[in-house]
Amino acid sequence: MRMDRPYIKKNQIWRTNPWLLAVIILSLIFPWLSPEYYVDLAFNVLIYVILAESLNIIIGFAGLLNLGHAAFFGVGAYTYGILWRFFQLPFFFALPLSAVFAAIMGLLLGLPVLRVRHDYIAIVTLGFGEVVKLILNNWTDLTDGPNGLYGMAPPQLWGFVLRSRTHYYYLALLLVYLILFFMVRLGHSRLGRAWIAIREDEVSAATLGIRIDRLKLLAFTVGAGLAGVAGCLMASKHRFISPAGFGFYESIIILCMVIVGGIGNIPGVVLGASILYIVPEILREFSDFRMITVGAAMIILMIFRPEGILGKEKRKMIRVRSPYS
Amino acid sequence: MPGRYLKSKNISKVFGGVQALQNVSFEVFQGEILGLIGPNGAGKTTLFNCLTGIYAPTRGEIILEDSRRNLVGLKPAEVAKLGIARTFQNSRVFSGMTTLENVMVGCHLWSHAGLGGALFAGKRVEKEEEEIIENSLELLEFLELAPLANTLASALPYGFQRRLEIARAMATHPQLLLLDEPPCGMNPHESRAIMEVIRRIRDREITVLIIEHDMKVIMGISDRVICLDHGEKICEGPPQVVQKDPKVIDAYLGREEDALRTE
Repeated sequence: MRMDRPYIKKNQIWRTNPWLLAVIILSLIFPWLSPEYYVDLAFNVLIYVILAESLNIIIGFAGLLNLGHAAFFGVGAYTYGILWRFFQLPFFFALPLSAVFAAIMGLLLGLPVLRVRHDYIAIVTLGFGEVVKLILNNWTDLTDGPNGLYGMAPPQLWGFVLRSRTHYYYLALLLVYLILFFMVRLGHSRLGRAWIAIREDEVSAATLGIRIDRLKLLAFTVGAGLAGVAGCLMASKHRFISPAGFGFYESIIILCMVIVGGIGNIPGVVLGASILYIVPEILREFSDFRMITVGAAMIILMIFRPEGILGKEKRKMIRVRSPYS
Repeated sequence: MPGRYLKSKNISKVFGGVQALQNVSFEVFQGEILGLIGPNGAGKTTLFNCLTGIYAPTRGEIILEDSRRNLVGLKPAEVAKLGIARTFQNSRVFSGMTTLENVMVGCHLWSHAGLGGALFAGKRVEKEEEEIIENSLELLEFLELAPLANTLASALPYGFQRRLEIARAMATHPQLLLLDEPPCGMNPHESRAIMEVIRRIRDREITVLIIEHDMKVIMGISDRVICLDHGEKICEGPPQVVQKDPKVIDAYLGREEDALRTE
């Protein structure tokens, strides 16, 4: 960086943010502070954080509406389930395979998506989600159909068995921080800029030499791969998976998490996922009324804050000091 | 005579029943400012879209002199890679990004970092990123936008957005820059300033093809001028000659029989 530019302050993504620091510390000591039931809940929140952030790559970065995201979640879970069923493949070997296999599915879904635009993308992805669920339900030789798969052994790492809720919590937490780190980097990289350019104006982006088709496919591949990681982790924790957990409802909830938090906003989506998972749990005692409450709350939020709780992404990678300010 | 950069042969473009371009042939020479004039609806922007791969011409070819490549059938990104960049008639900046980031997107073409680069940013990726910023800031300075580097592009006044688009296009390091009515929406003062900028772009050895329908503006800046009317090239030559050509005057002022017909 040349020094004769007085308006340049500094170029950095990572600034010490007291909020971020507080969240990291709190998340690290959380299992000591709370009853086991809440650690379980927190694990599920972390799973949904991964899912929502992976969808955030597809919707928030590349601007492609995906209504079938739970399918990638399911593919990841079933990759592990099936590999366990037939080969007793241990978790840590299955985890990368789940990611790769879900990523391949993302690539395959991306191909037809390239041929359509806007609202039609929603229909294509919706159909894809349903197809995956039907396959899981009906290819009984492989998936055992609606009965689901169960009995996966707990993960082992050099003789250490991850058995308790706390172990799983830390494993998920580690993955979440890795993914968040990766996403922040991605958002401020050459690739992230190109994705956002595509989202904002495809034609302009193309005339600047950005290969639209390739990058859209990449967004689907990466987003799907991360959802596959969440699936594998969930399958291992619950030791049971069935097609019912990967339907349209899950896809919509994940989408809502992204929208409620703020499309494209990485911390916002974490918040959105947490709120949309925790609030219905807290309202459990109201049984039938809880989803009505949640639904009403979401409608009110969308009326008064349509851009999500933390709003659209705030891009602030390059800090430049203006001579006028 | 400088070398030829590009030659288009008999480009035609038909939209349904509308003949937007009809056998348009022309040449672009290296280092010149070539003006493209014509009344509204003459096919100027359509010609730009054909040159940049946004439309595929119905017939004809566009040959790059150096590589003998035919641009017809290439995608916009491929055309950009061959050294042709453009701006649009209406501002099309990336409104959610800062001014600087807009230009950084333009650097996409000649930089390399991919997924791996984003994951494990090594020395090479960091250096590339710095080079991108350096390059972008230099272009912002060139277009006198540097003090606004951190402003959201959507918050820029319209005239500055037009400048930003030029900076973004120049960030691809083009050999040929297509400008679609750069002074459109600018006041006379800004308009004069942008013409000065275009001269300085040419001084950087970038060939410029510029659309403008204000005769006064284009005549002062162009080395040569092509005039289109109803999708056909009606005149080509030095500004003084084109300006006096009766066909051009007709196209701009309307033919007598046209005037009679509307009465």
